[in-house]
This record gives sequence, C-alpha cells and structure tokens, in this order.
Amino acid sequence: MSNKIEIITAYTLQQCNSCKEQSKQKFSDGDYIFKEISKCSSCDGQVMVTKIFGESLTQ
Amino acid sequence: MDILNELFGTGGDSNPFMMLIWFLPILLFVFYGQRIQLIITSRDIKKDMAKLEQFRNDARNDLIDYVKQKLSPNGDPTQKLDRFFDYFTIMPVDIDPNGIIPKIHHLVRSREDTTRKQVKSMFSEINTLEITKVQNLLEIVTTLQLLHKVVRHLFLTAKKQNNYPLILPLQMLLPFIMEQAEALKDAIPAFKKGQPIGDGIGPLVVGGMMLDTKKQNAEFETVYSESEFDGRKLILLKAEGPYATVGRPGEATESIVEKLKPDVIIMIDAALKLEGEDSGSVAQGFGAAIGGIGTDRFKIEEVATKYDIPIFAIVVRQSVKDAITLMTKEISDQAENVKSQVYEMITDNSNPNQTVLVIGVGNTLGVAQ
Repeated sequence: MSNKIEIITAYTLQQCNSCKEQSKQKFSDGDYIFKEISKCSSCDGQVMVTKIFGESLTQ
Repeated sequence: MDILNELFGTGGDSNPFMMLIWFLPILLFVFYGQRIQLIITSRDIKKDMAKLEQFRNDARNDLIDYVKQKLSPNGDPTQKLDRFFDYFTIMPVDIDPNGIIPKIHHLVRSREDTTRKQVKSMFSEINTLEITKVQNLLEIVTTLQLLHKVVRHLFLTAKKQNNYPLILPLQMLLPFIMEQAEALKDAIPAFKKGQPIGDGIGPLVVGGMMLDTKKQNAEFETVYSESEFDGRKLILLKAEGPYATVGRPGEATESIVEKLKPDVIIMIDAALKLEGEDSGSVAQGFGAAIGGIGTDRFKIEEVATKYDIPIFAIVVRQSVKDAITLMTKEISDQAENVKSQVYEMITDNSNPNQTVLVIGVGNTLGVAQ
C-alpha cells in the first residue's frame, strides 16, 4: 500500500490565433476553452484559451 | 510424563486429543464455515460502506455549501436539496410490444425538465451555466446516495439472514462500485469550477471546428453551424458550451437529417478504455458513438437507417474517472490528432459536393464553440 497523495493542478493554455504564441498559467475562475482573452501583445491577433487540463503531482 | 505423551504423542492413532485437534476445525468449518466467511467478508464490506457514506456526505455538504455561498438562494436550500437526493425514476414496463424507447425518452426528459424548474425556483436570479452545474452536482450526490443505499441494503439483508451466498455478488461488485463512487467524488471540484472533463473531448474537437462560423440553435442546449472542407459541406453539431450539458443530440440529429439530408455522419465521443489500454488512445469504428440510457443512440440509428446514411465513429479511450473529472493533459493533447482524423475520414468517405454531419458527443462543460 502506498500512501502517496496525488495533487492535481488545473492549467489554462492561451494561444494567439495569428502568431501562435502560447502561454500556460494556472486555471482561474471563469476560464473556458475558446474564451477570447485579449489582443496579442506581439502581433494584432486574438488570444484565446485553447486548452484547460489537469496535471498531477504525486507526493 | 507418560500421561502427557499419551495425550499429545503422535504415536497412536487413537490419541483422543489429536483426534479432537483434527476433527474440531473440520466440524467447525462444516457447520459454521459460511458464517466465518460472512464475518470476514463483512469487515471489508463495512469499510467500503463507511467510505461510500463519507463520499455521499461530503458530496452533499459540498453541494449545499456551493449553493449557499456562491449562488445566494431564496432561503435555506438544505431541505429542498435533501428531497432531490431521494428522487427516483420508475422505468416503464418492459414487456410492452409497441416499443419502450419513446416511454423512456419521455420519462428522462420529464425528469430533466422538472429538476431544472426546481433548481431555478430556488433562486431569484441564476444563469444557465450555474443551473446546469447544480443539475450535474445533484446527479452526482443522488448517484452516490443510491450506491450507498443499494450496498447497505444487500449487506444488511445478507447479515439479517446469515446468508453467505447472498453477500458474494456484493463482494464481487464492490470494487467496481467503489471505482465509480471515487470517480464521482473526484468529479465534484471540476463541476464546481466549470472545468472541462474528459467526456468533453468530442465537444472540444467539434467546438474548435465551429470557431468563426455562425452558430444556430438545433435543439434545447444544442447548437450547430455550417462550414466547408475540401468541397464538402460540413454540418457541425454539439451541446451548447460552456454549460455543463450533453444537449439533445438525438433530437438534433433527427431534425438536421430531415432538413439537410447529410450523406455521412461522423460521431466523436469519449469511450471507456479496457484495462491495459492507454488513457487518451484514439480509435476509429462504425456505428453511433454515444452513451447514456440509449434513447439518443436509438434516435440517431433510426434516422440514419431510414435515409441509408453510414455512421462512422472516432473515440478517445479513457477510464471512468478520467471521463468525469478534470480533463487530463493526455486527453487534451489528442484534440488536434482527432481533428485531423475527422478531416481524413471526411475525405475518405465522402465525395466533393456531399454533406457530412459531424457530431461532438459528450458533456461540454468548460468548452465553448
């Protein structure tokens, strides 16, 4: 029997639809996939949430 | 010394103590074997039952806290919610020769509509996303409560009648029940936060294909849009996100097929993986890839048969837990791969100028379009 604790952290992946620049950050309330976030800081493209997923950390 | 030797020695066959040592356990097991097994098995079942009760209580408290703290209900919702947890559904008579599916369909829809109305009535103001989230959370607590009650009933019946064979099916089923219960318990945070779940891979793929297209209402909580690919007309259908709903794919497919007459139907869904298979593995096949009680699948199969439309399926395999908890990276990473397989399937199985209906099946929580 292992007593390892699995901690799952939710992440949001944002991507610009023009230059494809990505950024990964912790999930925050109100995030959903295909939500339009803002204009891209590098180009004039639209940044939107493309993925929300959980990554587990075993302690 | 001689007396002791006579009693415990191994020399003679007629040693009374040795005979007793051999025969006593045999007699004990012949007459009380099942009761002993019942006591041993009971201990394990009791542990799991306590766990089930804990899951049910935690889920109930989580839901009540969520409703009280996040949604500002009219008055204390505890009593009303407790009544919901005990709701049951009486399935229609299954010896009916005229077909049972319409009756099941009517029953399921009535239950959904009533629950939605009841949830709405608890708040003076509540948006669709929150209604669907509370509906799903209610479903989780109700299922956990039902599992606990059924296990307790079987266990207490076996104990009451001192009937060991009666406890055997429960002992065999319990690991599967516990797996489902643990998955349901772990699903609660994702539903509270509105995060996509593994089952949402179908809506995720089709939602991506629907970006920058005009979304139209197909059915209650179900949307479709039209697009083009390689000379083919695509009709894209999914539940309306980011709500916690599976929509009404059966009725929506019926009306779309009647209206737009597609030549091919492609369905994308999550499917339960077999032990040994990798979570997130993708497979292609034939037939309507859709779970649930069976009414939606029946409707899709009926209308496809009526118009002689082939149905192709792409599934992303995952465990029960992966399907109802926060989408894992492995599953999420398959979205692009599945999308390219859908396009490949379209070119392989249809000709230019034909129409293809692509359905993303599953709970679209946290996935818009």
